[in-house]
Amino acid sequence: MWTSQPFTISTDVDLGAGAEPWLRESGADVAIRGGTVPAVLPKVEREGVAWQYGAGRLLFKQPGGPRVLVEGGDTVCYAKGASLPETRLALLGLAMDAVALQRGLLPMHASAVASGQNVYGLAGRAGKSTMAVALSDEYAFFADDTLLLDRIDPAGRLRCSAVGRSPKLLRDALEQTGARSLGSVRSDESFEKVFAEPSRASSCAVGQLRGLLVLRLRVVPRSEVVRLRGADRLAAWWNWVHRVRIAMAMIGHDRLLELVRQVSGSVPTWTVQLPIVRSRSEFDRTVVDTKEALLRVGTCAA
Amino acid sequence: MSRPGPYVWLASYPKSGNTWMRLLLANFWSESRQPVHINQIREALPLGLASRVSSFEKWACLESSELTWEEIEELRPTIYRVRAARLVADRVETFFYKIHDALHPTAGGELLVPADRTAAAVYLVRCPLDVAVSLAFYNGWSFAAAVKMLCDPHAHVAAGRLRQRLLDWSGHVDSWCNAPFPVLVVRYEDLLADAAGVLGRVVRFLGLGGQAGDGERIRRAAECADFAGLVQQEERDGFREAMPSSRFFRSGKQGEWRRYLTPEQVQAVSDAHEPTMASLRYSVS
Repeated sequence: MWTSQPFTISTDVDLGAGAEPWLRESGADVAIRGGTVPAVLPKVEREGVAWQYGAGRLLFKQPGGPRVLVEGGDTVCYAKGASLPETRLALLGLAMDAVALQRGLLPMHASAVASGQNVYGLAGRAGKSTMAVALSDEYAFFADDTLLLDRIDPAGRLRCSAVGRSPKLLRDALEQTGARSLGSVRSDESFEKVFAEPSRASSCAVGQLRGLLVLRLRVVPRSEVVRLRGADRLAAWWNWVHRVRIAMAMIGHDRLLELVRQVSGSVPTWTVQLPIVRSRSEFDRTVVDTKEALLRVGTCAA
Repeated sequence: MSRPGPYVWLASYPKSGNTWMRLLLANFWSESRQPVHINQIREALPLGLASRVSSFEKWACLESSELTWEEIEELRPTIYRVRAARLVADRVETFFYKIHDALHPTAGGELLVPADRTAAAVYLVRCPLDVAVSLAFYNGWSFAAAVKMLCDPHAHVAAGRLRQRLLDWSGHVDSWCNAPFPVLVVRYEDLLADAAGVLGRVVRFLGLGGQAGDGERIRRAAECADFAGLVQQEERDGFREAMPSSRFFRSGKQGEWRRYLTPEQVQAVSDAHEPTMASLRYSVS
């Protein structure tokens, strides 16, 4: 179906194996380079706790990491001197969100699994990365934390992709999922969050988003699945735009809402209310329930 | 009351009546004559949870799980400032924040909550011996572990939230009672004795009343947030802020420490906290 990512990257820093499909030696769409990054922007239109935006440029400071300047959807400049793990987090996190927005893509705060090129997003605050890794015995792990959504093509398909797809889990989630640690996400090896190895990772860097599951922890005895429609669906999608305050600053509320409206309309969306679990067996039950929900989404999408 | 900012901090050491006070205020605030449900407090009252991960991430535009606790703590005062600016722009005059952190400075020297955006704080305090019992039941800890936490100057809680530094119990009390903004200290035991009377004091202190019918609203709020009713709601519907398999509203009684704590545990709490306990009229006799 699709064979290429929505953009390519050239870089002078090692972004890790997850970014390899995006990398080009030359002629890339986006250049990531170390250099001089100002402490503040000369003209600030909007600003937040750790970022400023003005005249088409986003400046941010990753705590513990480098300052980064993103402009024009094709240039990322980071201040050298921070350690590699922190630099990677900044570049594959907020910097890629900003590049995507400047290139007309929508970054969603979601992990994802795939069956071939059929991708299923997992949003919500109920351990989406953990769930994606737990599902990777039957589905291929596709994305951690951020899913980049393209425009809908004439056939009505919504292309999605992910940069730097290694899942990041808290250490106690390693035990829940049985996944192996690939090392700390920060330079401090005792840091609570680690990169994990899923059972199976997708060989595709792009795919068609066929459904979105919003995972919610609730005081319920059993998992409950509810399909969202209309305003409820739009609200769910709006809630899961990644770093929505920066997105609004960069492209404006109305344009962002229009983007969300366009893409959400093409994707079946469900909430999965999961009971709060304490034991491994209770967690395994929620994984089974989520697989059943994915089957319903897959059937619906087909 | 002059209001340099919209924030009213509802502060307490854990298990000291904070949620009960929020429900009393929510029922006072609510236009409805029906009791505010324990899972609908934030729908009824302009309220934030200072340690809420999703709120931190929304305002910081950062992933909390990729940050150290120290980095998060460093960002929190700025987040409260940014949010206050938005509240003021939206003409929100009063915004409540539930907080369990001690009022300590961050590593950068800034106070965790911005005094210049704060109208006032209501500090809920409870006899530490009963806090130990309640903590133990709620968390499934031994009473010894709960007593140890009350006496630990490095104590903190997290459990699905941002890490909250508590200090020891006396340190927590002192930090809030010496805040650089107006603080009303409310004893849990006084709430038990006369919830309507205490709520009336809180309402007057915060300048929330001043209308005809305030007395009726206060009386109704106290009835709607009756502790026995809260226990029933939790049994029936669960409480979404509670930890799984734990009952948040358990007994609520005063003096249960006499039944559960050993003389050594009582002595340990007394040795560590006697001056502060005495100042709040708590006694081990």
